Amino acid sequence: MASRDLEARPQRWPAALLIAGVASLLPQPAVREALSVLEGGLLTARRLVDPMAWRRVAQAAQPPAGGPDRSPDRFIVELLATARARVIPDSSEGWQRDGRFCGVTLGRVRSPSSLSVASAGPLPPGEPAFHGRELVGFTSSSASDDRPRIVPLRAKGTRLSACAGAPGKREARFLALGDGSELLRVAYADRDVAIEEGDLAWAIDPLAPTGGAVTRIVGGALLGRIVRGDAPRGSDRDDWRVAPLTPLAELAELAIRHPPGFPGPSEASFVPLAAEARHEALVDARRDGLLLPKGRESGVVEGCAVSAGPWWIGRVVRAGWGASIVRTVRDPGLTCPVLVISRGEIRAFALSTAEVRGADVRLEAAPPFADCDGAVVVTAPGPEGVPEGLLVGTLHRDDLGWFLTAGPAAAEAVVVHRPPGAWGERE
Amino acid sequence: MNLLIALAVGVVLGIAEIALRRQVGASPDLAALALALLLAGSSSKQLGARCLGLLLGASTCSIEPVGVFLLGGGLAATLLVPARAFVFLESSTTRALFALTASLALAIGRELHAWLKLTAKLPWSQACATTPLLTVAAAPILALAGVGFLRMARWSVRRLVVLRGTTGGPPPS
Repeated sequence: MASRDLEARPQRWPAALLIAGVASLLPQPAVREALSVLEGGLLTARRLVDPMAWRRVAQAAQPPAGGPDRSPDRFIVELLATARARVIPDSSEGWQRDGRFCGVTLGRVRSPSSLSVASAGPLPPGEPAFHGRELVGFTSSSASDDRPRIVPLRAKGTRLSACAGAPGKREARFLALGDGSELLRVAYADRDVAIEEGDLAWAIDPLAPTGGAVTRIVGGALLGRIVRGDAPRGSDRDDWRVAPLTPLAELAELAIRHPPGFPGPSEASFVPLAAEARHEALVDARRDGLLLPKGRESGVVEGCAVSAGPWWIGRVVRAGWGASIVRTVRDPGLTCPVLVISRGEIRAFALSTAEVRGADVRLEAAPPFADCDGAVVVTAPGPEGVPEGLLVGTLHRDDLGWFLTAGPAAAEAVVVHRPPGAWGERE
Repeated sequence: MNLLIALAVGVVLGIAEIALRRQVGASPDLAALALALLLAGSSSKQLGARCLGLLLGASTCSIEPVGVFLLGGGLAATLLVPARAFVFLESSTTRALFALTASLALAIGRELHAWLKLTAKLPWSQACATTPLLTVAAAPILALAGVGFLRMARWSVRRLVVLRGTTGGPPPS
């Protein structure tokens, strides 16, 4: 009888469950944060039920003597150093003045109005940022910026004295203005000297104050090539623009002058932690993940890189109190910023995996630059716990698209790279 | 308490599915299967808490976000709870249909998350159909096996009680 009453009564819980499910689709940070906390708590609860977790606690292995290996491969370090030498302008240019140039790795945001910086350290304000001989922008001098960033020349409101033509023969001065587009506007150009399409444009320094010392700040730095603007041919005056030499998406690092006494870009020193990964600990047949018996209690947080020897294995995506889940490089849809080292040049690329085919991983999108067949792919540094130079794999091309030959598929002894914190003192 | 027990059951089912997949190579979606059998079982005030606990427990064994399980479970419950009034719940066909609905609802929850880029978009292959088909096939078999097991357990207990009553001592081994 009671059961029949219960059947007759309308049940509200299915609708509540559905609403909770729909709410989990919302992109609001508060919702994402709440779901992250819930997932972490549930992962901790799993550890209480999972018999394998209890067995591993009982057989907790002693960490290897001397701690886990934290240094990237020497070959990769040399490759990066060789490639980085191209980013730093030659000292004969004089742009370093009394300071020194340091290579600064760029972050993910690359718009004409702002370039984010991956390193967490401060940057000297108002300093030019070079990519070899090319001037890309200036470090932000605004005190309101809570994170260091670089304002590209293309940003709206920037202006710079410049010259176009053939150096020493035909030099037309003008003002290069940034308007937020990919090209620089040519304004107030010399009427006496002709500008031609394809001319090289370079920066010139403002005049030194009377009696002041001549300082070379950006004089001679390349800005790009002259191209025609959108104005129709035959209009009253030519509409010239400057097309920068390197697209922002391809920039991996910039050289920034650090004045004497200013600390160099702080290389975040991550705290490595040895862990024993469990493969096949997740139900998803079409996904690839690892379960780590380390969690927030050991300082493992979302975003930490996981490596095995010199190889980057994956990234922590869910961290509970005593366990965490890692998405590996073989998991479809994994996206991570990487550096592609090809023919002695470093280029930034957002690597995204599509599917596993045999030993290789097919990439979702082709690298946006040519000549990278056989290129070495390494991790780009990230403040959340990704050290620079972990080997992701090598690129090669096939009829079906671009493939990445990644590292070992089933490494058990792995290292988690944790961001520095209080746990570093304890362990 | 029901929620916590169901949570533990969800974790155990997830671990069992992993072990089954490792040993045999394929497995039914045990979370969907358990959800379907719960919804096709006897009605209770605690049904909601049991379903929620089961889904949350199963989500700990998956790389997918917990929202996939909440949305899929919510869809399945919204469709199947009202359907209880119109179907014969003891029928094997009903159980198979309930399992199919639960499995598809969880898949739809996953696809919605993938569409909104909250999880990875996976390529479809023929092998993708294996899991729902196994789930549909397993639902009536498991339900019948469960009923048979319960009947046998009840019969054994009654036999023990009867024997203890007539002899006054423990039953002969």
